[in-house]
Amino acid sequence: MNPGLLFLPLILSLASAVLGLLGGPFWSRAVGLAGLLAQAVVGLAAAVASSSGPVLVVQAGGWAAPFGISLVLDPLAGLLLALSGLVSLVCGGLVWRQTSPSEGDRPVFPLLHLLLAGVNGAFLAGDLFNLYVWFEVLLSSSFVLLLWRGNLHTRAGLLRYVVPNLLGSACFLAAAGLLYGHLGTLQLADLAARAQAAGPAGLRLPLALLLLAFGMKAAFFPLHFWLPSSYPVAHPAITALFAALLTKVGVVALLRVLTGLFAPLAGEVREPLLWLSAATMVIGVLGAASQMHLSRILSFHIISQIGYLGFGLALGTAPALAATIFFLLHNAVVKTALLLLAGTIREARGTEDVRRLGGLAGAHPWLAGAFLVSAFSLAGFPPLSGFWGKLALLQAGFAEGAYAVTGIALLVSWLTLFSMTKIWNEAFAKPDPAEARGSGAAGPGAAAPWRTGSFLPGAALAVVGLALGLAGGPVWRSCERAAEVLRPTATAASSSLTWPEAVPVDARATGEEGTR
Amino acid sequence: MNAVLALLVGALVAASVLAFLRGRTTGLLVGFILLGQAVNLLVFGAGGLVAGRPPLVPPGQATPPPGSADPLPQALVLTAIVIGFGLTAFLVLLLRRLRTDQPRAGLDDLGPPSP
Repeated sequence: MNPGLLFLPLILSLASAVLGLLGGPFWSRAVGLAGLLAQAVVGLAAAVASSSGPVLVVQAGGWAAPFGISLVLDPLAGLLLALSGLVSLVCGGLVWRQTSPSEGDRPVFPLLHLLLAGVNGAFLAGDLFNLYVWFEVLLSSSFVLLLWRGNLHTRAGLLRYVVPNLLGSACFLAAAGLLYGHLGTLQLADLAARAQAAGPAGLRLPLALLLLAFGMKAAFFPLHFWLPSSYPVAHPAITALFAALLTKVGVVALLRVLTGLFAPLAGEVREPLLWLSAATMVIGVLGAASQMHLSRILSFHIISQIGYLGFGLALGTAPALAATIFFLLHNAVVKTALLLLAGTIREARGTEDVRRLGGLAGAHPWLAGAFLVSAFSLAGFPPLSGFWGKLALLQAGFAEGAYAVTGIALLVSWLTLFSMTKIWNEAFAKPDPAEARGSGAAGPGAAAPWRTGSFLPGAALAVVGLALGLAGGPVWRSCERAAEVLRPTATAASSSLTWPEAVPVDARATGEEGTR
Repeated sequence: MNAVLALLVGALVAASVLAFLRGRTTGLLVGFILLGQAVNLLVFGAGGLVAGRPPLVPPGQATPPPGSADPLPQALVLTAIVIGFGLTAFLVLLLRRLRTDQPRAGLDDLGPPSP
């Protein structure tokens, strides 16, 4: 495969965004959906191409590493590109269904593509500063997307999203500057090699800043508070997309720097990270238990499951990392399906307060089936995808002797089941309170007639989640390979990137001049 | 020179924290502007300050003389300034809109988020 194709996911998104803005409302929608479709195909192709064979590296502009900016397609990046393509296509499908070709909705698809460019760029980036820039691209488009069809509450929620994220960005930038000052490079694999040589001194402050920045974006405890008060205010399609991709970008960034750059410090952060992950799981699931609105319950579960990802990350062994990657894929698919289905319920019934819902199992058996499968998968029932992810994580935890935190993970799993059962009992199984009172309109918003088109995107993802559990073998093997490639020590990483061994410092300075 | 820069970064961060803690929309804005400048200066300083030695390649040579200034941090700061400017502009508009929504409200009075 020609490494130049690595630019394709980025060029596709940026071109679709620009082209979509050039024409009228019809044109914008058509270009937007076609771009998302192409993106999904490219993502799947990237996952297949990267699952075997060498890691693909391309140097932007032909500047040799480490002077140039490299894009790296390793198996992890391939899997994530497939995930982002698939999820954004499904969410884009819902956006298509919910918009009419009107002037007001014209920017939505271009913004989706800009967000996707940022996400895919962050997955492919092989350079710390480049990663920062892609983070800003996805952040600024997510700010505007969150406001789509918003009201006064959305704007207040947006401020709760903007402020922590801007603080995180400041920390990220400061860390990048300090690392450059300390190690003299920004290339991730080159940084890893030099950090290995230089030892842990001088790495602690950048590590702390990066943990703050990525922990904020991933919604780790105690930096999780912004998520449940900002995600649910967005349109259901946007909430679902954010839940699938944005917090995960933070986790992936953490995965990359902890296994590469900060490998000399991995032992030091292991214990704190383990316990923070345990706290994240518990706080998230308890927060969910106290909520009564579907999207807010699910938003708290996002936090809880970020804890599982942090758990695997902290363990850091190859099986733990493979389990983390599999769990991330499972979680992104299943959580997005649940949020989309919650959006369908809100549309059909005019409310998403589970106390006011009811009778959905009888009224919409297919919706109930899709929800049940996804909810049980989230709780970790065999043979659904969540079970395999959790099983692998718990095994890795026991193998490493982290019995206490592994026990907490089991307990949280049980509490997740409680939370899902609450939704099932209230919204699906019990009789509809509106009918019991004999009035048609139950919620504050009037109920719209049932529309199958709005239900299909969520159902499609539920089916993908089901397939991931029943026939996830190839995906699991890709995750194992991704973890193998990630884990290595800095030597393996730099040899796979075939970089010049020693570059005089002065040459370095001039070489980097024209690249940014 | 480095000490002056370090003190300046510290002072700017302290001022931005102070501005954040006032709990007002203007304080938030001022805090972010100051914090952005502090981080830019930090990146600038972390790259190493070299005065009066531009990284120009003399005729007939392949590299600039050793000890010349490193241009990369300046390029990074330039990028960061552009990004920071865009985000600050967005924040200004958002805060302005929030003021129109709820005049006289402080940051604590925005009310509970409702889905």
